Amino acid sequence: MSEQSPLNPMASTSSQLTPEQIRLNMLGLTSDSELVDFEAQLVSTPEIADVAKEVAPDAFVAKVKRFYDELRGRTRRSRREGK
Amino acid sequence: MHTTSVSLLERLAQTGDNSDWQKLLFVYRPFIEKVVSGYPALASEADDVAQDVMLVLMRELPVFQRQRMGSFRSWLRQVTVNQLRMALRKTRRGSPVQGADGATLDPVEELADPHSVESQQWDEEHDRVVMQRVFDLVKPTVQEKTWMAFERYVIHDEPAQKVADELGLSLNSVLLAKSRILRSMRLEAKGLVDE
Repeated sequence: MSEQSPLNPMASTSSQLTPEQIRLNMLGLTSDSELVDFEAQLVSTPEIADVAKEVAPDAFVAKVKRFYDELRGRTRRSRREGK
Repeated sequence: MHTTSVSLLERLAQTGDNSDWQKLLFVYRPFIEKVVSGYPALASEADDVAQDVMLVLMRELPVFQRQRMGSFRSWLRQVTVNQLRMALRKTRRGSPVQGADGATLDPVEELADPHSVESQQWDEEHDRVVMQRVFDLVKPTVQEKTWMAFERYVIHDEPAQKVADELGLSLNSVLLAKSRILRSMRLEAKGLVDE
């Protein structure tokens, strides 16, 4: 029987973790039962961090990035102007 | 934050819980009022027109969710256009004006056209108010340090290990912060913004 993550008994073992699984996790596209415990994986698969770094943002993440900066800038301006 | 994978729109269509309706009103009523205020003939009635739009939403949302033809954003625009037309008809002040080239300029019809500049502005402003709400909803559900990790790693593209080291977190925590916060945001925004 294969080793299982302590965070999630359904999670894949490090040897089974695929770039696609990492991608889905890094984009927040998983359910609770599919969430990978990266720490458990990192012990034997240190390249996960490298793979995670390469995950390109999808349309939603791009939207989050754009609006977060824009809205934060707007809030700061409002505070500065005393609105 | 909701731990189930049921979005606000799905909950509204299924159970119509009062707190969920309040959420929808909180997000959309100011947005609709702002749009209506942009029509000089209706500026003093923005509150009433927005109220009418929200009433249609409450009545028709379960049907929209069942049939699901097109995006919520477009459907909301159409509902708003219909209410604007009715309101302008009542005021009798909504006569189309002539443009420089002699063509008729009807601002409501411009908004009704999915390819117009007005529609594109509607989409942009709609997504902006929804995302603001998503940030407001998700941020208080995580620890400050977790949010900082998310902000630096996801928004500002700083290396995960650097963020972890400087915030005194494990690399795992930084990666999980990204995963969990994005998942929560997707859930709150599901069905409201197009992906």
